[in-house]
Amino acid sequence: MKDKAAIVGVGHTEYSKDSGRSEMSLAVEAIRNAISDAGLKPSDIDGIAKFTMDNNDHVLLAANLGITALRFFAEAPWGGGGGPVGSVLLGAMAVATGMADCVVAFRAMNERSGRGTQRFGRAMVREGAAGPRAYMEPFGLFSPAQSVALSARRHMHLYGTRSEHFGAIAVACRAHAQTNPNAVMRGRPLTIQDHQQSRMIADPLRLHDCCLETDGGAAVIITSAERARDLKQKPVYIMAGAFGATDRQTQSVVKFLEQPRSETSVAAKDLFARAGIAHKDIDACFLYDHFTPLVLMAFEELGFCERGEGGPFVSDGKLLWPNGSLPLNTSGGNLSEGYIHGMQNIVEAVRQLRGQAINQVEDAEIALVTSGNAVPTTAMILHR
Amino acid sequence: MAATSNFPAPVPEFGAEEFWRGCNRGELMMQRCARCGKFRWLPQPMCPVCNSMESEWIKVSGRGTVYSYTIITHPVHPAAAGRVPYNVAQVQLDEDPDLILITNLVGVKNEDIRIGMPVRVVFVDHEPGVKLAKFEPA
Ligand SMILES: [Zn+2]
Repeated sequence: MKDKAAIVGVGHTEYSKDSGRSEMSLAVEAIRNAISDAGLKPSDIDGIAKFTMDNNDHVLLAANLGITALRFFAEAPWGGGGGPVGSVLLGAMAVATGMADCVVAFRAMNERSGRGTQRFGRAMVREGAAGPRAYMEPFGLFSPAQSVALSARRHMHLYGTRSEHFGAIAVACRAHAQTNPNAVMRGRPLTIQDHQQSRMIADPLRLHDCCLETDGGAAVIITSAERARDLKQKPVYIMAGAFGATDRQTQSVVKFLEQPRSETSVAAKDLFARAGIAHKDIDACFLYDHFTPLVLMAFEELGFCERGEGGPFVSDGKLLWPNGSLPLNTSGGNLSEGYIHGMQNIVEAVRQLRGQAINQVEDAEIALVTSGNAVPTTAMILHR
Repeated sequence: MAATSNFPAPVPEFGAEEFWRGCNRGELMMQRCARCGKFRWLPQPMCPVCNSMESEWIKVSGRGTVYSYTIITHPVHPAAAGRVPYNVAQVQLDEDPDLILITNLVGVKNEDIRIGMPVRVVFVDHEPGVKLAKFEPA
């Protein structure tokens, strides 16, 4: 699939705490903006790849957009793990195999206001705990943040990782949001001291270790490399993609650090082999930032450093634009731009490789984009 | 009413009933492959090592060590509001390092919890007729 498909359009809505409108309205606005950015018409779109979790239905989207012949529809499971990169890869596979000509991948939700989607940071109140939840919820373990806290504590114990290391990731993302007019956290800079003083959510996770909760939508258009060359924007090629999961994910977002493989390391092995590049070739990285400890662990599992070295790795300034060698989430990420379930990081990766980013990385040629760590995950490498 | 005043009670799933029955009578029961003898957790119908579908339930010692823990201060469930701060821990059982249970630690102050701390099982009433396997310092 190397370089057979390209991202040719990106679009998004305003990111807010309460959109005041339907999730369908957010989806179709983001998609319309992406189609327009590509220089295409809605009738050019013949495929839709969505998050399984997204409430918007393929056919209702087609009805709004005026897609009269939908030739490909697919869903990527596992929320922020399969969803953002996985839906783009489904689109890329569809155009690479001739199943469709132009596929839209998107995410749209009223996650913060709860108008349609249950807030991820709140427990669903149910009568009983069934399935794998039976072994968690009776003990008061509900939210992803609480599960991540267990893995973060174990990492600290095994490797001497400190809360300040987690904070370095939050500080970098927040710094990048300060120049982004669409970022929810613009105008609210964050220091490592602020991070250390922020309230505890689930020790050792502090408030600023946790991503935002946001209403909004973001979308990208994928087409074949041949067609991409004739369109309005400079194409951003999908150099490689990979999926990864292991047999140890039976309880969501609980990681076992001593295992030889993780979902992210499984995906990384294929990803770099398929792309035929090395880690040092990556100019900017867009790691799914749901919780800072999982970003730190993702750098380890992706092979940027050894297991246990993530703390020092993220804390030496390399993640900070403009001087760092590996800028992270240059528009602010899930932590500070808006939580569109990682889709907004893909939009930003494309802007970087086109040379259209606000915090533009000089001569950015190659970008790494991942979906959520600690759930079955997906990753891709893009180049201009 | 009950749904908001207490954490949800477990709904025993097909094939895992013996674990929950064991908790109610005060025995920690773990599922073990009847062919190769490998313990497994969570309960499941097939042994991932030898693919046998024959398994047995073994009463284990209930002894283990704290693998990790968190102190939850931000309530996300209505029943958590009156309970924060409370601990949630992972306990690794002595019988097999792959047996890591999510639980609560009792009989210890949150600030005294440490990874590696030896613990033993204790069965605590959750609601009438339902006990949960929790752990206390050994
Ligand atoms: Zn077996």
